[in-house]
Amino acid sequence: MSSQGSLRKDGRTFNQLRGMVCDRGLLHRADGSAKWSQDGTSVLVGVYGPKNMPPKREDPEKAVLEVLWKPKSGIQGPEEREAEIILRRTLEAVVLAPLFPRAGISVVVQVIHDDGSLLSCAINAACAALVDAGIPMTGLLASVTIALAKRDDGAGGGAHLQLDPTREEQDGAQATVCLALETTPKAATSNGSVEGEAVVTSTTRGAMAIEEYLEALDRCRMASRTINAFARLSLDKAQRRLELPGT
Amino acid sequence: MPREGVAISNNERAFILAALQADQRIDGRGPFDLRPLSIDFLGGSGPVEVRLGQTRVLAVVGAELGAPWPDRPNEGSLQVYTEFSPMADPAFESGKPGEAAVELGRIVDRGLRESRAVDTEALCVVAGRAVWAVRLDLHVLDNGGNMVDAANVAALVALLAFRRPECSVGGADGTEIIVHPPEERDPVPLTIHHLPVAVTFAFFEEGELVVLDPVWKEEATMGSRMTITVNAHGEICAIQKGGGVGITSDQVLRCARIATAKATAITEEIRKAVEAHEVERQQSKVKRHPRAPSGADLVLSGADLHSGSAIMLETTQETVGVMEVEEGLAEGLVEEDTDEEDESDEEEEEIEETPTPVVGKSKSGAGGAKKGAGAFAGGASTWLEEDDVSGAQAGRKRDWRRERPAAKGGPTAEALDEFDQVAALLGQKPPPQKTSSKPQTLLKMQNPAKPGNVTQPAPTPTANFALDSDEEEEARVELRGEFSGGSGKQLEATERGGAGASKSVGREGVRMEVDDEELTLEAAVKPKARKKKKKLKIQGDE
Repeated sequence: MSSQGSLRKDGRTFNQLRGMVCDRGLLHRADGSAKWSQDGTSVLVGVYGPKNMPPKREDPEKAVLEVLWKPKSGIQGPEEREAEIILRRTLEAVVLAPLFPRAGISVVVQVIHDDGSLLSCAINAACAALVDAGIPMTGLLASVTIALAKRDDGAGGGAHLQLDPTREEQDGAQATVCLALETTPKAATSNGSVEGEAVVTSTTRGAMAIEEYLEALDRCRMASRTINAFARLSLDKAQRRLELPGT
Repeated sequence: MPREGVAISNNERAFILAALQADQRIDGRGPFDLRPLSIDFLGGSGPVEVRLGQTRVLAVVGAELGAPWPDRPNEGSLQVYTEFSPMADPAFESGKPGEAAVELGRIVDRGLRESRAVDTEALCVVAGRAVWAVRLDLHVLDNGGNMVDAANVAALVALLAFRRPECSVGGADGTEIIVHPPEERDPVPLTIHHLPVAVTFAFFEEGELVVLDPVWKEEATMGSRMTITVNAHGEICAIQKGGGVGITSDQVLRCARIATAKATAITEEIRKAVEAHEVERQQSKVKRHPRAPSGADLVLSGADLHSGSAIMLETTQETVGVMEVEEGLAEGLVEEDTDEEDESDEEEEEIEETPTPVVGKSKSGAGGAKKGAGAFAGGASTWLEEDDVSGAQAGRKRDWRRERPAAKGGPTAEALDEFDQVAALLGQKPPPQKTSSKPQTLLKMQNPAKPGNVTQPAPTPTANFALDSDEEEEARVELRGEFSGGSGKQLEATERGGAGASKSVGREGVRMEVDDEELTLEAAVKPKARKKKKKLKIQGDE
């Protein structure tokens, strides 16, 4: 993308994420909860766990993760089931399930508003909710969606890779990539610990060239650092609020 | 009438009863006190979230054009779908709604439809052929007790705030129904004649002890429950008492009287919230810019990695506006500044959610809905004060936007010139300006109003003209990550005062960052109250 000029419809550049807001600990009955908003897209996730599981569904070796995806309106359709499966697999990769054999962890996702990048928003929210619930994980998840605008729209080159697309951009894109990256602290070096990112989940829709995909991966990697830093600060503040006397 | 699966111990039950005998409730309320009610609009004609104490319900309204019921060709329909989300209570399971969910849905439905609160005849477009079918989805997100009342309020607010597309009959043969998109014609509200408010009472022991608005532990302990749906005119729309301990007719009358009084109070709160929301919606229409940028700028300038050209740090229109104002005011006017900034952030936030902003959060009645007591609006940093202003005074922001440009006058125009100059230097055309006061530009400029600042030309490599106050005023948490081509370097989290680590100028100036082969990642997350602290910091330092 060239730095000169073309902006997206909402005034962002192609590499600009939308404003993020993270509320933690909203729900009183749930063990953990988080509401993650990326401008117009907003998702509330509630987590129960580790909790009792009926004998039919328990696993003697590790906790069973179940994800429920509730659309804003209407009943679940195949898209919601797909989102449940993707989210479950993503979370299973980071949650330390073997710590809780025969238990269950229930993640309930409520879509409040969908303005693009819904799955990414949900993954971010789910990670924050799991942290709020105190479920041990191997690393933090950060997810971001990239839309490849149709070629004739772009300004040439890599210009048509749009980070964190809105609904409109997503629907009109030639292809979209949703990536979830896990950031784990690696072994400490002499400078201190170095973090690395690993791709946990990659979901694409539409056709794209390999180079475009790799470039999208690169952008996501960079964006995930931002998202992680933001999530950490958000958690920091939430913790601080708990520690304040009289809170 | 304890619900199935409610996990409350016998000890707790005994304690609650003993306390009630002594006129004490476990949350300290009086027997007929309502919990604080707060109403949040989560965007335009979108969901409405109502909190009654710890109980949280989300209501979504949608409308579809379709064929009418054969026995009612002149009327549209209103369908209420209730869902007890499994996140609300460990006992709730997903799948078909259970008894309690169905009952709740029926109580809300009866109050609205059978009392003719929502005019279904007004939903008719062409008799016998096309009518509007309104669908109301209620999601219970947190069960803190008395979900019925909360859901009812949510339903009322959502229906009041809902706007359906306007349609007309026309076309070639005069029978075609044209649905006008919102851009073409303003969507119209539903016709609602009165507001039926549900008020729930819980009875304990042999029906001798009564409380209003039970908490979930009280619900687990109660002997029976009665819901009275009444409107502010004193008309009883519905009474629902299903089983459990019997109560005397005196008590029923007494409860009905109390319910009427409570309904009046709740109706008032609902009206206030909806009106405030409507004001915001109208104002946002006026001020809305087609390219409303997001408030929290997370800028990831990727493509400039290899070009070596200037990396622009995006700013928002509102940001620019704020900066101008900030600059114009002397350091002494700390509070004012922060308020404006907060307002501007509010505004950004509002504009982001296009049709209607999130004002309701602060404007709601009781409950002071600052974006959630623990709301972390974008990268709050350590010095953030407890009273996060993220949800505050949206109305004031509006005032600021109206008044400030007039008062300031100069800076806006000057800033625009500066933008143009710098843009020209960079070889860009000046940003198109939809309104006179809000330049849409990528460039952050040093505000000319601030004495001693010089607008430096952009192409200077590593042009880090860090104004003294800039860093401090950098209320947001600046996350500066410098990446070069392939090797991801560490992300520096720059918090307040840490501007030394960062290479960019404060928010209010035009920030030209030119890094040859590096990628500068700046995450400026929602500033909000951080700004406040920042300003105080400046005070201290200067």
